[in-house]
Amino acid sequence: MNNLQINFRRQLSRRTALQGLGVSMSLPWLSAMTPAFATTSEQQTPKRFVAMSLTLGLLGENLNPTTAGKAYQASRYLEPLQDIRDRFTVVSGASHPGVKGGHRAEASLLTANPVGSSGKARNSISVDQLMARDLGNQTRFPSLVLASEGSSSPSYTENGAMVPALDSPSALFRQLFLNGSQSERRRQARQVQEGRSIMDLVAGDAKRLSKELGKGDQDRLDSYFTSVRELEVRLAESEAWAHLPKPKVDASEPVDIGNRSDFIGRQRLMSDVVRLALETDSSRFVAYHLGGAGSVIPIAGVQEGYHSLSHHGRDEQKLEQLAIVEGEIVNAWGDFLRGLSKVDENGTSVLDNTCVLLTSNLGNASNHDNRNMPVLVAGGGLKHGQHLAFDQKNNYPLPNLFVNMLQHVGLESDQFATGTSTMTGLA
Amino acid sequence: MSTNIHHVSVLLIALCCPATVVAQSATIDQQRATSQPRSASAVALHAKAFFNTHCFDCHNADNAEAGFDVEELGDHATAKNFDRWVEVFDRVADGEMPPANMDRPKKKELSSFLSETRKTLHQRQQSQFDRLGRVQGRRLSHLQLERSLHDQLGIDVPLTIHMPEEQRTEGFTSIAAGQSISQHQLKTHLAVVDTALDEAFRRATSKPDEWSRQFSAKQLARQRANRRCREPEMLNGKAVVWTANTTYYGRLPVTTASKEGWYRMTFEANGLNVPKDHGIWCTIRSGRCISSAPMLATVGAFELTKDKQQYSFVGWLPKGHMFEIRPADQTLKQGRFAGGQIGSGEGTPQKVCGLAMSNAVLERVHLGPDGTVSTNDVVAKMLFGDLPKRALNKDGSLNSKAISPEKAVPRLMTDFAGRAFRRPVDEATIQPFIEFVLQQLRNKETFADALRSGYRAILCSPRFLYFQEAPGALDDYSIASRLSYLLWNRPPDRILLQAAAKGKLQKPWMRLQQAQRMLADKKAQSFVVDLADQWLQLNDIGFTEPDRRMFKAFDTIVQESMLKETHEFLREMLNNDLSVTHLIQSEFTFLNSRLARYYNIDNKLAASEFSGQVQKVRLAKNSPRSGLMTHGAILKVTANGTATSPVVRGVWMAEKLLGIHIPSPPENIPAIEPDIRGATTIRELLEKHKSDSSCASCHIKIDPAGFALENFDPAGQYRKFYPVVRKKTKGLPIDASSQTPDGRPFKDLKEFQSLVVQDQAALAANMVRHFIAYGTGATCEFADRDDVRKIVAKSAASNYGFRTLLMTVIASEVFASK
Repeated sequence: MNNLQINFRRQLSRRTALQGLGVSMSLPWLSAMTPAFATTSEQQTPKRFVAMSLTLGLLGENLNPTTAGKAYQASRYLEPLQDIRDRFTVVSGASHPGVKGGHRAEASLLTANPVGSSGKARNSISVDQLMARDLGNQTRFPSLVLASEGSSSPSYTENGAMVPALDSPSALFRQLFLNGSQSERRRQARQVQEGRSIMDLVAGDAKRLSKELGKGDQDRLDSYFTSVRELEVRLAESEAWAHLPKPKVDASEPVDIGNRSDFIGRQRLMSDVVRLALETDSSRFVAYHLGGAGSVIPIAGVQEGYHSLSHHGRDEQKLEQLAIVEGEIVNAWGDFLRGLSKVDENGTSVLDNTCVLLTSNLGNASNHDNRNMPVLVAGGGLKHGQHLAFDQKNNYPLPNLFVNMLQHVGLESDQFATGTSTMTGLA
Repeated sequence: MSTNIHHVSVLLIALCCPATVVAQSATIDQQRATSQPRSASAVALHAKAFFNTHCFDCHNADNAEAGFDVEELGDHATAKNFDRWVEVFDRVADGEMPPANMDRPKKKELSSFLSETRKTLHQRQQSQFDRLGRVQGRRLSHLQLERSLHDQLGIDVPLTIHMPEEQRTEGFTSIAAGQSISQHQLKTHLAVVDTALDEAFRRATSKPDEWSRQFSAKQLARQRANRRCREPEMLNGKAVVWTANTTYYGRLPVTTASKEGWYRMTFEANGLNVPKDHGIWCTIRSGRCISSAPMLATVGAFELTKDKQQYSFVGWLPKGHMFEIRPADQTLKQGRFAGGQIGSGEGTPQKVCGLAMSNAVLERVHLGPDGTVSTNDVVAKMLFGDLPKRALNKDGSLNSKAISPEKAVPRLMTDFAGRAFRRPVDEATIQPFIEFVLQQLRNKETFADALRSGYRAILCSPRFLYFQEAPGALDDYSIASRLSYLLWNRPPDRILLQAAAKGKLQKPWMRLQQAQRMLADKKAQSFVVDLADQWLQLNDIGFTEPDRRMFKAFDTIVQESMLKETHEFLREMLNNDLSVTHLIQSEFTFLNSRLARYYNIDNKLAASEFSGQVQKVRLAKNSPRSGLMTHGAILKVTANGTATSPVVRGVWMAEKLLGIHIPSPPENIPAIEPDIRGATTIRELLEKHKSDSSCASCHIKIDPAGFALENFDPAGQYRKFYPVVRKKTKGLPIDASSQTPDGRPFKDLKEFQSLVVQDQAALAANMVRHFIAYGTGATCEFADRDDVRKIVAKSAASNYGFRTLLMTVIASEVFASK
């Protein structure tokens, strides 16, 4: 899987593409069409966003350089990334205002909503889903929500529901690139169509039921009703997309890694498929939850479980093993960036057009502190090659970075959650 | 928001007035508030004056101690600041604020502030409850959805595994306020319904697929005796597995499932080289057992003796998975085998403990909801009702002279919907669904396919997915659903629905009659397990794995035994209506031989008295174990696998067992970072942290229980000294002394427990709040406090028995109101 080449042998004619579409929808930006129709809107290179998140943080003393600015001295974790030094920025002393609750703050990672501390308040839309909601209809998949293991994700919908993650690289690959047999497709189309009629039927039922119940329930049923309608629209869109052949890639379906402990292997495999998804413009907004693991990660020099290492209690041997694990995670992230930087896109690289974030809700996993979050940000036409060092005691609002991200993908907003401007020093 | 207040009550219309000009605002208040009851504004002013005198100096905009500015409270409680008001009320009521070193309010001033504030806060929330109910839009939890589909269709395939994680509120998945819905969840729901319907239609239209196969020892063992591998070896006519840490050693390829399903493995086995004072503990697990997929699911644990015994376990095997059976006690000497493979004869000279299987029977089974078997005929009845067995052709069309598809559809759909919606359906509700099926028929779909589409729609209806509860007193069917999902996490059975149809669930004594019947039913066996999973967060027990090097005796068997201990203990409390104080202090617990050894319960006793099954055991007077709070499962769930923290355990104990509310920590105060190097204890670190007064005010409530439990390590074993990592030397001694929040000192856990059980009513109130939250779908709020008090008072005669508390909740008004 290391050297994948994209190969569009067949160039799609725009007319064929449109003939297949039964419903009116905005025209997808298909890279297969660029050579023939390099005009106006299609010419615009897609702007993308990828968020990668960790459950157990990254040890600040090994991640954050001791000196700030352009001339920062590489830290232990960043040493191996020095060949791409000018493609990313390391941010220290930033966190989400008001967000606490240790592990529970994972729910706030991309929403910046302080929901975790009570467990009662309703979450709000995450930055990736906001992009998907407003711009997601241009690709086959409005967004990809992925995880290394399990369905948990930091992505939330507008009404505060977690978007379940897909944790199988092979299943993702099949969804992205395999067309399936004709009978299979017919069966699927039929199920989708029936699903739509059912949603229609159920929406009516919800309306009637809503009248029988109290005002409070009506609000909740409204969410249900909205979800039903959204799913209907989504089903219609995927039905339309189903008529377009999926992009072809010069790679075969990957084999999932069954060993849950192989954290790094899983990270690399999923990252490879994410890269393919971006290159083929199958989706532009990706949230990939790398997560954490309780078990021993199979790397030389590591003998204790990852989670147990994160509770290092300042023990030197634990700290050293933790540094090995986290160093590998950052390395694998670096390789993902290198991969994106090598793919040409209208004279720029995919990395230039993709904002890539690596972060965690834990600034200190040993005591579950949510301040001083680890933040690495790359690509996306931002000013890089620097260490933005904010106050460790009085943190800078990280949601401001999300405002940069929104603007990067083309949404004209100047705020997100508690973020009220773009981040100082990135533009 | 916990209060979820959508409408500002008429009683308390927000008025803007700066805090410092009270007198002036009073006139404005009177002018504007002509249409309101006078009392409201008077009360607001009353509270305001209290705040200005006693709170303002430390909690103002410029100097907001602990991040609290009294201005946040405005003139009176609103939807937005209601929780803050309650917090302020509680802290003043507890005497925590104003702090002791400041001017304390006079007795009369204090009591009038408290009683007025209590009244307004209660009224404020109660009026909202009256209008909207305490619970809004409660949905089936994943577990409830799975079991509902099982009962609806007669199937048994696991479904929760296809559902994304759900949010838990105070540990519970049933709390409406924490439940959410989105197109993504709906899409998953559709997929889950499809999986369930696929299985149901498969079974209803095919021959029974249960079967049984017998295996001799030879068939269980490796097929080529001289190949080094990980299957059992033949020794004296038995299939033998030695004690060794080799991954998936003991795998049994003959048990590989060609189709996914439930499989019962029954086998006869005995131990080899059995130790003198206990048997050989083994595990049965399942998985693919190949190097690319080494993960295994635990099916069960059992103890081998010298004499042959029969063992039987049921496990879910996905296609291609097999069973692995092996000795797994980590305290036993492990055999050494080169290269991760075991050659025949290599184990014998090592004299390690072994498992010797004589024979086995593997059965494919279908499980019913109450331990009975469910046949394909049962499934067919769920889908096709009383249609004759051969009425359905192979292609799915209806072959019946007695009834036409057009006639059969309305009947079947109405019956199916009635069960799914847990109440009779009226014409207007069902008609669109019936029309949908008839349309499918007109579109030339077969009878079976059309019906399946109709069922698919019914199972996506909000009437199936949501609890239907109208504001005010609940109707009988709503009560039936609450009751059955509380006790069974399943839909109501026929008897309960009949009782609802006769209007027999309104009267408390009638509800109790049903509840007693339901608890006696086999379906209620999972009640304590389900409750403990959520209330005590026992489903998180596998979240951390104790550091193997530090906690050598801990293994899967210990963990499984710990869960059984707590489950059986709760069952005992429920069945015998034991006082709620048993959570804190008790003379008995439930142990098997492995856990007894792990807990260091007298070994001589262990040899004769304990067995593979957990049983009720009287604890010695000097045993450090007493009450549920010292159960291994509890101690493990409250630690991170490496070190203990009195804060984490303290908060857990306060919220789950003691009923002390702990506010969330103030911002910008870092948590204590544990130091396991051995030079400082957590107590020393905490003392430093507590020198900050805004930390201290909460920690006096949090830490006592945590300190009292410091003698138990993260894996649940008793200790006198802190460990020093990777060193054999003892660390610093443990000091379990502290004082209760009200200042009573204790020197160890025993003394702490004796102090805590003195306030039985407080422990009972805590349990009542958890039962109400779990059973109604809403956590207890300010306006529920009176109801909780009443329920507790009514249970006093039983010494606050566990069952009585549950029953009194069920009989209460709050349980029968929205």
